[in-house]
Parts: sequence; C-alpha cells; structure tokens
Amino acid sequence: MATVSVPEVKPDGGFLPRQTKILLGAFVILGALGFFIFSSLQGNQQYFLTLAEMKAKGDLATKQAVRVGGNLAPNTTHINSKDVTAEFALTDGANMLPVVYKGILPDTFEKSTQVIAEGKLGNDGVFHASLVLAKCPSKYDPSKIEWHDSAQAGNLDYKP
Amino acid sequence: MATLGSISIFIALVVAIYTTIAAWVGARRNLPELLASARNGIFAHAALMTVAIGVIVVALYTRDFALALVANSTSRDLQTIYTITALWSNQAGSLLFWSWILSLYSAIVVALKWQSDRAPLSFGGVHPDAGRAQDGSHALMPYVVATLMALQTFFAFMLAFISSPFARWWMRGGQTIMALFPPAGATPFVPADGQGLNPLLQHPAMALHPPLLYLGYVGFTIPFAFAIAALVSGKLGPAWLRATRRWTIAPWLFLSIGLLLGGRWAYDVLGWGGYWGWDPVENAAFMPWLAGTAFLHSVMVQERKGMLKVWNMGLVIITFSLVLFGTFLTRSGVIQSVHAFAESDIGAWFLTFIAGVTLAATFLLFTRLKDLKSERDIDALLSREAFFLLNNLLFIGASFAVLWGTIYPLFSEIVYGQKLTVGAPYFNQVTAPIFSAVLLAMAIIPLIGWSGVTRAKLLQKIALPAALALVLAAITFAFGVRDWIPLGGYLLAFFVITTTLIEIVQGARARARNTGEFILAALKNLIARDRRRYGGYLIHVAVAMMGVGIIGSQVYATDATRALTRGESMDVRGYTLTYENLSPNFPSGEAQVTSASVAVSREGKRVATLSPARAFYGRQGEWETTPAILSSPQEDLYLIIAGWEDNFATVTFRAYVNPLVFWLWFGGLCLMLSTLIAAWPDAREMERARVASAVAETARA
Repeated sequence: MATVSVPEVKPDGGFLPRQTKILLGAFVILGALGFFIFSSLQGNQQYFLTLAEMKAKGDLATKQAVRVGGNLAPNTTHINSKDVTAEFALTDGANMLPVVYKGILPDTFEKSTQVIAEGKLGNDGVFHASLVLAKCPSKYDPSKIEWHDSAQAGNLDYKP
Repeated sequence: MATLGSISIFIALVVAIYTTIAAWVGARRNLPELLASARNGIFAHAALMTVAIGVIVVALYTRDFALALVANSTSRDLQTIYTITALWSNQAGSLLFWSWILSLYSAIVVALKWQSDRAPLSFGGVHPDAGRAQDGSHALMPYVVATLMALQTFFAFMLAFISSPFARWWMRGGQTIMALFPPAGATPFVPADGQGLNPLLQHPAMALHPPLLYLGYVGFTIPFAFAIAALVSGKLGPAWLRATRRWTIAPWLFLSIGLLLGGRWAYDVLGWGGYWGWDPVENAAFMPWLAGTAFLHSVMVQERKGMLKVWNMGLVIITFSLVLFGTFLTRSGVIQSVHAFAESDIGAWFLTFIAGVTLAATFLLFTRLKDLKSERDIDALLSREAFFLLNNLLFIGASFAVLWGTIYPLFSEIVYGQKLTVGAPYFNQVTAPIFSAVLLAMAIIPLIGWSGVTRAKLLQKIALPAALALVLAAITFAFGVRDWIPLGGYLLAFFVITTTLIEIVQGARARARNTGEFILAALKNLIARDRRRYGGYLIHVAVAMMGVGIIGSQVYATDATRALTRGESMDVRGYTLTYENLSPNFPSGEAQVTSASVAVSREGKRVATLSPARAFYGRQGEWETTPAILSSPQEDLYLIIAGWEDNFATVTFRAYVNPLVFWLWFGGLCLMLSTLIAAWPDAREMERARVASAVAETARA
C-alpha cells in the first residue's frame, strides 16, 4: 500500500518521503509492542504442571515458581486463622503433594475439588504457595449433579 | 408451557434459515416480495425468541423445577429478583439471552433502516423517515438481514439441539439424565427443590453486569452485519459507517458499564481488595472493548477523509471475532477461570463457528481490497489521521497482548507440549507502557486539527497544559509519590486533563467573544453544537481520572493482617482499628452471618465504625466474605474478616488501604455520562438530517 510520493523539501519534511516515514513509524511501534509482549512473557511465564509432571521434572519446582494443579485431597485442609496460614494436600490419585499457603483462601475453596497453587517446592517436599486458585468444575455443570431422590433433593451433592 | 418454549425455538430455527435465504435471494434477484418476507422474518424471529425467553422467565419466577434450568440454578428460598437473574447463570440460559438480545437489536435496526420503497407492507406503523433513509443504508439492509439471520441460525441450532434451555431431568435405573426429549426407558424426574443460585451471584451488580455485558457484546454484531453487507454488496461507500455510528457507541457504552460493574462487584463481593485480576473472563470482555475503542476512533478518519477503509473493515471483523471468542471463553470453560462454566460439548461447535465467521469475513475483505482504496494518503506526521493510526495500533496492540496472555496456556500446550501460564504481572507489565502511550496520544490529539498543525503551533499550544500538568505532578511528588513510574503515569493523566479542559475552555471563550454569550452559556452551546467532539473530550478526562485511580490503587495499596481478641487494635497506614464486638452465626435468609464491629480512628479520633462480615451458605456449602469499606477521594479503607479461632476467641482481620480508588469509580461514572453526551444527536446533526430529508423530498417531487 506504500505509495511512493516525490519527496518534497518542507521545513518538517527531511529526506525521507512522508509515507515511508509513517510506515517506518508504524513498524517501530509494532516492533516495540512485540518487544513488550516478548519481554513481559519471558519474565513472567510459569510452568503449569500436574502432580505427575512436577514429579517427572525433578527439582525444577524447587528452583523456580510454578503453578501446580490437582484435586484437593479430602480431610487434609487445616486453616490457622491466627497466623493466616492454610495447609492442605493435592492429589491426582497416585501422588500427594502437601501445600502450605500463607494467606487467605478463596471463599470457594471449601467446596472446590480442583485447586491450583502457585509457588515453589521446598527441600522438605512441601509446596510453599504464594497464590491459591480454587475451581469448582462441578458447580455450574448440571450433568455432574447427583440428585438423590426427590425427598432428599434440596440437599444435593456434586460429584467431581 | 415448556413445550411452547421449545417449539418456539424450533420454529425460530426454521425462520432464521428461511430469512437468511429469502434475504439473500431477494437481494440478488431483486424480488421485492421476497425481501418484504425476509423483513417480516426478522420480526417473526424476534417474536419467537421473546416467547421462548418469556416461558423461561415465568418458569424461573414460579420455580417450575420440571425444567432442569430452573432446578439447577434456583431454589425455593431464593429472592425473587435473583430467580430472574438466574437466567444467565447457566449455559443454556445465557445462550438464549444472547440470541434474544440479538433478535431485538435486529428488529430495531430493520424497523429504523428499512426504507419504505423496499417494504410496501408497512409493519406496525413504522415509516422510516426520509432523513434516515437518505444515508443510503437501505440498499445494504437485505444483506444485513441475511448476515444477522445466518448468525442466528447457529444460535437457534445450539439452543434446539446442543444446549436446550427447555431440557428436563429424567430418571433411568436410579440415574438422572438431563435431556430435552425423553431418553429410552426413562421417567420424568422433578426435584422437590432446586439446588440454588451461587451465593456470589446474589448481588445487585450481578443483576446488571451480565445483561450489560451482553448488550455490549451482542450490539457489536450490528456494525459487523453492516460491514459484511457492504463487502458482499460492493456498496462500500460511507453508508455502512454512518448507519452504524450509534450502533457502535451504544454497545461500547454498555460494555464499558458492564466492565465497571464487574470490577465493582469483584471489589464489593470477592473480598480480596481488588477489582481486576486479569482473569480470562475479564480479559474476554476487555479485548472487544479495546478493539471497539480503536474502531470508534478510526471511523472518524474514514468519515472525514476517506482513509483507513480496509483498516476499519478489519477492525469490525476483529471486534466481532473477539466478541464471539469472549462468549466462547465464558461459556465453554476451555480456560481455567473462576467464572467459566465447566467444559462442555458446546466448545467444539463454538470454535468451529468462530473460525468459520472470521475466515469468511476475512476472505470477503480480501476480495474487496481493490475497491477499498484510500482516497488520499496521510500527508503529514502531525495530523489527526497519523495520530489516530497511532492510537489504533496501540489499542490493537493492547488487545493482542491481552489475547496472547489469555490463550498462552493453550498455545504453549499445543506448541511446546507443556502448559505455561502468565498471571497478573505479565498483563500489568505489558499493558502499562501501552496505556501510557495511549494517555500521551489522548493529550496531544485534541490539539491537532483535522487539517494538521505545524510543529511551532503545536508546541505553543502544548506549553500551558504541559506546565500545569508538571505543577500537578510536582504537587504529587510533594505528597510523597517518589517512584518515577507512577509519577510518570500521573503526569500523563494530568496532561490529558489539562490539555482537554483548556481546549474546551478556549473553545467556550472564543464562542463567548463571537456571540456575546455569557461564558457558561457559551460552554453549554459549544458542547451542544458538537456533542460528538466535546463528549469525546469529556470521555478522555474521565479516562484520565480512572487512570489516576488505577495507578494509585495498583502501586500504593497496602494491607495488614492480625488476629485480635475483643478490645485489641491493629494499625494500618495511619488508621487504628479496634475490634469491639461480634455477632456470630446470625441467621439471615439462606445464610449464617458472622459480623464484627470495628472502630476506626485516626490520630486518636474515632471516624467510623465498620462491620465486615462472613456468611456461610449451608446449601451450597460456601463462604462469602463481605468487606466493609470506608471510602473517600483520598483512599479506601477496606476491611474483611479473614477467619476466627477457638470458638471466636480471636478474630482475624485483614485491612487494605487502597489510595485513590475512588477516582476509578467516579471517573467511570463520568465516562458513562460523557458517552451519553457524545452519542446524543446534536444540533448540527439534526440540521444535516433536515437538509437531507428536504433534498430527498425535492428529488421525489
């Protein structure tokens, strides 16, 4: 689309034709945008691992912060409100990962089945989370609702 | 009743297919009768969708648990208002809602724009006035109708066969199945009570936020349909742009309000002290907003100068694709998000649909490239069009950066075989420089006229506002802002405000001099004479205010957490919070509410009492944290109960101090009002319409 126009000598003109300047300007801006995206990505991307993947990667999670997702293991949650610490464990059936999180768990945590924790693995094998996200995949998914029978309906269970 | 609803959907599907074909064939072969029939098809479709949604609303209101949608998202003890809002808390209901809004928009567009000579049968007394018809959009209408109905065909198909809002629960061998038609050997199953609505959604903002987002999302379909109509028919003149100007600004306004309400809801309900978390679903609404903003600006360049034609077509297509992608993200659960519904079978359908629509539109655009030649080249660097192009690149760049971060987990899994994610730090880091550049452009563009400006003149115009902005920044520095990044951000925001306000005041003074009006009257008339321009300027001021609020609350928020026994205090940035009283497990509606009473004092003086609370919803087994907020233009004190120990012997509080966040909400309110000013027809426009209609009359005579 670059139309080559005859370069005119104007006070603000200079040597390059205007169209070329504008195209160059656009390229510079696009280049800068690309650079911003690339550099922001470099510094901030994290592995998003399952428990099995984390195990397979060895000590990766001790060196850099990762996100790890798993099912919340039943009856492992202990919340200590006094020092705002929570302990729980993630599981995928085969592996268990104890997690310590210093912070306030999201409101949906208690009902959640899938949990994502962001942080680093300590040498003690405990995952020290700096961020916890809870997801309730069953919550909005009607096909996973387990209706007991009409008498009990109203106290419904969800099946993960 | 439910049968009536599902029959309406099936008929709507047939009508949508028929109307698409009738409009297309009628336009190609020039058959007025067929076109009139297609026009009526639009109204019939809107009526059918209204019946369908009416049936659902009645079922929700009467809590007819025979319908799975009602049983899955309401309960007997749910407040009436939230039984209606439960409509969009589930997949089928929200698809129905989408399609219904589009059907209403389509009916309004057709009623307003379909010229009488094209429709010998007048419908409901709607006679488009000659002034409107003069914009030439009537020639596009058959193709607009065909495009809209082709899109509606997809939604009707989804609603009829894939995700029916009229599905029921069935029981077979002790197992429940959700289906529209009875599965073999199953008996109907009607639960005694529903499972209730997610307590987080039981909030006034949630009654408004989703419909507004949808009004915005769906509204962008109309400019898209006009663009496609222009491409298909080859009538690529300015008609499609003029016809869709309000159809772009209205969805943009709705989307803006929707985003603001969503942020406010997060702030009021989620209890983490923030309003925006770069969650995929937030991004899903933000991306079309960014692309739509770019479009709103670049259409002006095409209207004025006949430039950027291909670019505008591209922007419409991008915006609409992002709308569909946003709907898909929210409704399919393909990306982990707090909002998204569980992964479901609509995903594959939707993805195919998006790919189809985007590819078809892009292909059409390519076939017309030759006819979309710019009428002139950008002839100066210091011109509006050059800076609008810059603004567009920035908005599209921001949109792409957000899109990239949002889909990065999917992309990396496909390409590297390993899921990689990015969180808020990525988005903050990548968007901060882009939005700073946007602010700079916003400050400078009003100073550059459509005919351009010389460098000397621009510098002369910039001097005063720049000096004022520097003074304001210096004051900010004196108040303790010492980091250069936020200081730079404030400076840019101040610069926008000073340039824009000075520009408005100078305009008013010039008018006062010329007309002898009192300055305030001159200001009012100045704005009234060119609402689009000055409304736009006021939007810029509002955005700059929001920028101040965002910088302050993002960079300088602090928090403190402590477990307190009754009578104990904690300190956070100049506030002393004393825990005075507790009312544990108080039954309220569906929930058990525990609320505390906390005295707030500054410099030894009691300034307020805050009552943060935590509610337990037994049915859903879910907690809800209700923050208590002490808000002022300077800062918000935001207090939550984080938990308690030993049978309420200690209660743990977390307090956030969010500086300047008030300006985000206040600026948001100003943005809404300014957009209304910009969108309202102004004196000049009415004059143009009058002239146009007079010309039309003469031509007819």
